[in-house]
Amino acid sequence: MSDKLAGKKLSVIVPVCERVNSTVELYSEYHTYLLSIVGDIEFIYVISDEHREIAKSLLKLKATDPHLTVLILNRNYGEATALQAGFEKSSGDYILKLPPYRQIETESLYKLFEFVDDYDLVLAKRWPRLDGKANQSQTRLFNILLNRLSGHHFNDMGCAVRLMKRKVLEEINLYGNQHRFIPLLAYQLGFRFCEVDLPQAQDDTFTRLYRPQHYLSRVLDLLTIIFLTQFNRKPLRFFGAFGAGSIFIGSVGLIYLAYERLMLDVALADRPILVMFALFFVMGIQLLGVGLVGETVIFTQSRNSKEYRIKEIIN
Amino acid sequence: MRCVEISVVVPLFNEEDSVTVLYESISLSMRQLGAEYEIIFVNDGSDDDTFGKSRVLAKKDDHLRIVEFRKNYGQTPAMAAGIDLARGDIIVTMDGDLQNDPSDISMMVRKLKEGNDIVVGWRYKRQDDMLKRKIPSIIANRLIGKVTGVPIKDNGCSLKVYRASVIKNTPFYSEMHRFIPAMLSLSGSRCSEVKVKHHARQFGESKYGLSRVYKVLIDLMTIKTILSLSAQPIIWFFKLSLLPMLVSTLCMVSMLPVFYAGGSLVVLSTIALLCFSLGVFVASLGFLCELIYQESPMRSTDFALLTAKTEKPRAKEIGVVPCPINWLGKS
Repeated sequence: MSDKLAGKKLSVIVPVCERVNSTVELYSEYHTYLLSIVGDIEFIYVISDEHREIAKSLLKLKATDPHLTVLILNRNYGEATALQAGFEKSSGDYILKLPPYRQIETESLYKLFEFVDDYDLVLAKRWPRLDGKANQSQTRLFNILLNRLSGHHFNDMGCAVRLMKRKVLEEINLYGNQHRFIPLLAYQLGFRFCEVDLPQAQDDTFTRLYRPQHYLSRVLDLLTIIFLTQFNRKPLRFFGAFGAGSIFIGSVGLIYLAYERLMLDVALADRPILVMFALFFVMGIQLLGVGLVGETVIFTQSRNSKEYRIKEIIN
Repeated sequence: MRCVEISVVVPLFNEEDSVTVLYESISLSMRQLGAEYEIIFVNDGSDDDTFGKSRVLAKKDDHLRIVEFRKNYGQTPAMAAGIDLARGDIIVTMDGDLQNDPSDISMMVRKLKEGNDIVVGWRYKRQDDMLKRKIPSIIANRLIGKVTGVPIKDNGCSLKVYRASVIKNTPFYSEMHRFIPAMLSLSGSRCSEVKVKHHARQFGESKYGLSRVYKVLIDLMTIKTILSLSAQPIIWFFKLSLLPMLVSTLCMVSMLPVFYAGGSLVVLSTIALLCFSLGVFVASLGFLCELIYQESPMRSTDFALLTAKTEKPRAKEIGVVPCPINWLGKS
């Protein structure tokens, strides 16, 4: 029995969206194990309509199981929305997000609870890894890119197992594919997080190779989140750097071309480089313009949103 | 709850050495002023014992309030938090590194009560490194003055005194504290600048670097845009798009004789078409901004309301009321 959660309620949320295996057996595994270490517990399965079979079999279990809630969404809205929907139905002081597939050894989950006193968010890191080089290097590559851009030090942002305090999800506004980056958003709000090593499950070791679109959307998600967390108050600093660079290249090039044409009498009409430099110049101005529009959005909305989060006020 | 007249807001970041001295000198000068006051220390996620030390002080004196941030957010958000929580009619902001002198506050408060909405400190004898701090600062201030039309000699000075009703309604985010006088000029606020003392750093390192140049330039561009387009975004962007449109038209006109003479049109047509598309793009941004302003809680009329909300200074506190200074000539 884990004494860290004594007197607190734990809500386990399992969003069933894309990757799924042996959900029902896994539920009973989670259920048996977690009940043995936590007293007060509820399970919330959020299932999108395409996994109707799973929903049916879970609903059968529900008849005899007071801990289980099943939430069915009309279509697949993505994991972030599913998590949000599950969270709204939950009442626990702590939220444990688990995947509907075996990613880590269930018996090691107790390790997460050891850190709840000091941190608001406990992330699992699949370690030791049992899977092959292909999977591991994908994980590593993604995390290196993430750490470069965000300045943090994550090892396994792709692991779906997360334990968080209720207030973390209360304050975060999740949408789209942002569920993966909850730690980054939480950091922005001043929450503290840590990574804990949990051994990888045997089921998670199959080699995962996705279509190119999958990787592209992962990278785009990453760029979105970096933009949102680092430049959300100063879009022009982001656009301005590219815009000013582009204007600089464009104008230097155009001046040089004009010099060649007028002083050295080099013909200009048959050289595509003119179009290139002119386009650079125009693109720079467009980037600055977009950045300025972003700034007006921030300015006009600034009264609605506080940038800071207060921990404590004395007197 | 006591009725507070003056709130002193001090953002602190890793100032464990100076926090006690700072508290004592502010308390002393506030007691000399004789007004009901509160001091708000905003601890901006310091790594050192700033919070512990200030908490000890706050236990003994309930004039001192401590606001503890969850993490480091930066100086402007820290000031914004202090201003949001301040209960006084007059709000003073100052640096936590002892370079500003709290004894200037009483003089600045008097200046505010003469009928100003904001009184800005000017560190006329600045005790900083010449090359790294003073010269960039002079250039930046000239530039800011030229661009925004609010000629403040020292925008970077944190020691400022505001009328609470004005500053609480002013957007205060990112690193915009430098441009607060400029932003307030939107509402035709009365602004005045006074000389203040400035001390060399006693503890720790300066927390700024030269990387600010890019940031100041970008922020300046932002504030200029916001100030100019606040009333009518479409018109402002249309004016901006006139230049590329004009260039485009000129190129097209000058293409005609070349066309009839059978010459090459590549260069002129490239420039004409690109400028035309740029003009259309810029003009369309105007529509976008109009939409943003329409949907926002802040309208151009709000800027006028900022001053409308300003209470008149109470008569007994003013000796002679001089003509309020109005930089923009708007009222």
